[in-house]
Amino acid sequence: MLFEGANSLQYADENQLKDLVRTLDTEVSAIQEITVTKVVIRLDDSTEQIAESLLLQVVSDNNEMMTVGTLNPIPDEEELILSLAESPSILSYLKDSGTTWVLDLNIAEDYMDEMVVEGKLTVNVEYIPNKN
Amino acid sequence: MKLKLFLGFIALSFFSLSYAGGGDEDKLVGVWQPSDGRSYVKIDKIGNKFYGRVVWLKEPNDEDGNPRVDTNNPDEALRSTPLKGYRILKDFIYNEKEGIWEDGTIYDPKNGTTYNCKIVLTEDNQIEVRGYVGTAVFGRTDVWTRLVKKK
Repeated sequence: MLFEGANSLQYADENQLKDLVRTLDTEVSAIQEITVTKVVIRLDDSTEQIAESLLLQVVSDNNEMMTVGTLNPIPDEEELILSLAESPSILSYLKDSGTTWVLDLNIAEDYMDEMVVEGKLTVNVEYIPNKN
Repeated sequence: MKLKLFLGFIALSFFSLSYAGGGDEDKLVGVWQPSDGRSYVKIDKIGNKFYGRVVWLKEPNDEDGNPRVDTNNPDEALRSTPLKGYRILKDFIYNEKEGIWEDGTIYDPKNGTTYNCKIVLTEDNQIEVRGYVGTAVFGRTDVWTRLVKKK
């Protein structure tokens, strides 16, 4: 259950960089930079009706929490596109342990269930191509 | 060396924050009121660090009746972020030896400035929050009180 006002959702995943590396058929050391270019958040109908604002941040064991994007107010649309911070670079977070994405969500009234929110990042990956 | 550019996607699936603590370091978790009485700040633990968000404001709206936002943020793209819910305390790590929470920052929305910060628990329901620039000698300490349920 979530109470009216400021709430936080989180998602921990330490395999995101490995997944990108596998897609590129390369090594972690070949990745030079990863920059977020777009963040889309999808709220279900019941959440969308009470959500007032969104703020996406990322943190890891050896990196300070960084703001990636924000949205306020929330438009009446299925796909919510966040306004991005200046060139959010996330490579050091994905390389680190304890990578956790934090979605701060202000809601207008109590929410009586477990809340689950889906999101998708579009990223630019700069890498050294495999010579083979 | 020629770099290649790849457009990739990362899926995220967020869940409600669950928390179960109990050690000395977790005594910081709770809702606190700064000395000016104009806000409440809820401190949570995320991973192995502590973070605090504004969960109540005495004056949540501006002169025009709109929710107050972070108008002084140095990053222009983030100035629409509401102050209610703003995470003003970030990245505190518990120093078990000294019994303090350190290496964190505190953000002052009045001037858009982020200061280094450390927190000391002086009583069960009282903390000293010291913001400073450079060394902790040059800074300001505020006393915050924990909000507790009346019995």
